[in-house]
Amino acid sequence: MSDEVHRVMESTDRAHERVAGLVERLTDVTRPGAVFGEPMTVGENTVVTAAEVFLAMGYGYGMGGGSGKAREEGEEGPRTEVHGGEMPGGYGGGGGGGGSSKGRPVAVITINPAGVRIEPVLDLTKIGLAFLMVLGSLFVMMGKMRRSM
Amino acid sequence: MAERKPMFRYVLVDGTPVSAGGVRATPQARVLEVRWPGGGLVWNRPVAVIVKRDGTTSQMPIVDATRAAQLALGAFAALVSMMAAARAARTFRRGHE
Repeated sequence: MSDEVHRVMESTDRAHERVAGLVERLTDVTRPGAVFGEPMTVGENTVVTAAEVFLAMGYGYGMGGGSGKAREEGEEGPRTEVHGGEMPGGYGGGGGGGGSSKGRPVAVITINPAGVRIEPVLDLTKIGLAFLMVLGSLFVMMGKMRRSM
Repeated sequence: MAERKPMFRYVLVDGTPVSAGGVRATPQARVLEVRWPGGGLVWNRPVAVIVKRDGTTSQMPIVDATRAAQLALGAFAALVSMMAAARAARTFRRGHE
C-alpha cells in the first residue's frame, strides 16, 4: 500500500482516538458533583443547588479504497492506464458525530440547625409551553370532531 | 489495559455530605448510563436527601415540580381525548340506530 493509504489510516485512527476519549469522559457527568452544586453558607444556612443533567453523543467513521483492474489479454479501454508504474487507485475516509446536552435546575436544598428544607424550582417557560401545546392539540381535536359530526 | 465500562448502568450515587448545626445531609442522585460502540448517553438527576439528626436518619425526596406539572398536563390531555372519543363514538352509534 502507498504512503497515501497510511496517511489516511493514521488520520482516521487519530480522529477515532480523539472521539473515543470524549465518549470516555461521559463518566464525568455521572458523578454527583455534576448534579449537586458546591455548598454555599450564609449565616446559619447552607444552600446546595440540585439540577438534572442529560448528555448524549455518538459518532461513526469509515474508510475504503481500491485499485484498477490489470489489463486482460486483448482488452482495450482507459482503466488499463498505468501511472508511474502503479495501478490506478484511490483511498478515502470520513466520519461524523453529534451530541446533545442539557441541564435544568430542579430544587434548592437549605440546611440549617432547624433541619433540611427542599424548595422545588418551577420552570414556568416549560410548563407554559406544555400548557399551550395541550390546549392547541385539544382545540384541533375538538375542531376535527365537530366537522366530522 | 483500559478498564472496560459497563454498557448499561442504573445506580444511586451519594453526593458529598453537608453538615450544619448538628444536621448532616447527604444528597443522592440517580444515574442512568448507556454506552454503545461509538457513543453513549447519561441522565443524572437528584432524587433524595438523607438527613441524619440526633441519631435518627430520614429520607426527604426531591420532587421535580416542572416534570410533575408536564406529566399532569399530558395526563389531562390524554384523559380529555379519551372522553371526547368515547362521546363521539356514542353519538355516532345513536345516529345509526
